[in-house]
Amino acid sequence: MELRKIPFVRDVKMNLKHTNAQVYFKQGSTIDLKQLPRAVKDAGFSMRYLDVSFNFTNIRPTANCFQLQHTAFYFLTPLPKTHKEIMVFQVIGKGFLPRKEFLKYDTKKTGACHGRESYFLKEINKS
Amino acid sequence: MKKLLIILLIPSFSASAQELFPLSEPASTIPKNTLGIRVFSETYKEVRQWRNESALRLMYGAGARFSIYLTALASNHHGNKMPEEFPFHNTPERGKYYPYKFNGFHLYGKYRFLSKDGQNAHFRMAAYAEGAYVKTTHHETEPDLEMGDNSGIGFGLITTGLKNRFAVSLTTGIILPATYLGESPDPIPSLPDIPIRVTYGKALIYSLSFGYLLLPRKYKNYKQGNLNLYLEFRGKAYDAAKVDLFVGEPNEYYVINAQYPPALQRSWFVDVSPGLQYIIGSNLRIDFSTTFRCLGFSYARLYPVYTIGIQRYFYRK
Repeated sequence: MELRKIPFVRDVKMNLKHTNAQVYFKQGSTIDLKQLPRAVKDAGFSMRYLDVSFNFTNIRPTANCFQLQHTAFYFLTPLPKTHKEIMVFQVIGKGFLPRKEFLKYDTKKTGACHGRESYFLKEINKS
Repeated sequence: MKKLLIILLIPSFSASAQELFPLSEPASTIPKNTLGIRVFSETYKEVRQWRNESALRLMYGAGARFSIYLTALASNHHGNKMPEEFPFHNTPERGKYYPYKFNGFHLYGKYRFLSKDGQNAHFRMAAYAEGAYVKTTHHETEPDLEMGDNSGIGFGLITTGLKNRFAVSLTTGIILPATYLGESPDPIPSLPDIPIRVTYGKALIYSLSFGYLLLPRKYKNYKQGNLNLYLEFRGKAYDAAKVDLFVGEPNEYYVINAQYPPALQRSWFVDVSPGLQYIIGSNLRIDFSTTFRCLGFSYARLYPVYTIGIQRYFYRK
């Protein structure tokens, strides 16, 4: 499986009934999110969407964004000051969902975060 | 710190197993950097013997959207010389013994240029190009590159749709066969062979294939076997051949179309091929199909034609 070949991926659990996968990262590794849709496409598949679980214990987000390793993440709706420690977001970016879906989102950067890559986060109702 | 990542992706291999048609290529391509091997063979009875054309195919995913196949071809179908008195008699020649021999190679490339994917559904289109180089005779105007009847080139389009357990695929293309230059034995044994040139008919090829995933009813893991049912309609429309005799000699002449036997005349047909496929461990694929005449018929094969194929991918670790 192409996803398992990615250096920062520790494990992949497939759910064939719902055609989805849970991907676990190696602790402390440098993460390059764009390798995920590339691996899925190389295998001949498409990515429908990508949800990421963030642990904010060691991250200090502003209301609009935060920076993690070399990546900037922008919230599509401002993050409240009191938020959960672990939150799940859908990643909005080219290659992470069908182009038609991607164009529905207003992806203007409204914060002072910097990174080699930028993605947008849409909060989803689960933790 | 990111610790868990959930990806939803489509379609899984299991959802698309029913588009792995035994006789036609789907628009989907094989995974990047993956090597595949396929052995396939078609057999039919001709008078008192079995004709067989067999192939060993190496497949490679050269890119996420581009697959390339190289196939070695062998058969006991035809010989090194055209039949005696070709094209007036013995066309098509039936029942003569020919030893099994290696015929040549077939090269095929497929590029998937459109993918509209949904959950357990997709719509894909691909363009393909193929070429064959074989050293064997072929007695009918109908060309065939994949099984190595002719040298030549071809190209076309593949459109495949898949929804839940059902898949359908339409292929249209053309074949531009190469001219054959060879010899036919003179009916008078003491005279030298007759130099002969056959310009085979250009062909339009078409197929409409249906696939249905019978088992499993519910997916649990990749070790489950897949049982797929297929029904394929495949055919060709081709031009008449042109045959020149005594090529390069003072008495060179060509045969006018009206004098050709039917196997060298312009024609068309549609065959029907029901098929069954079992996939073991999401990888080892075994398929079997039988081809019958449906509308018109092919002069190049006798019905029914039995086809068997075994295929496996070797994924890069």
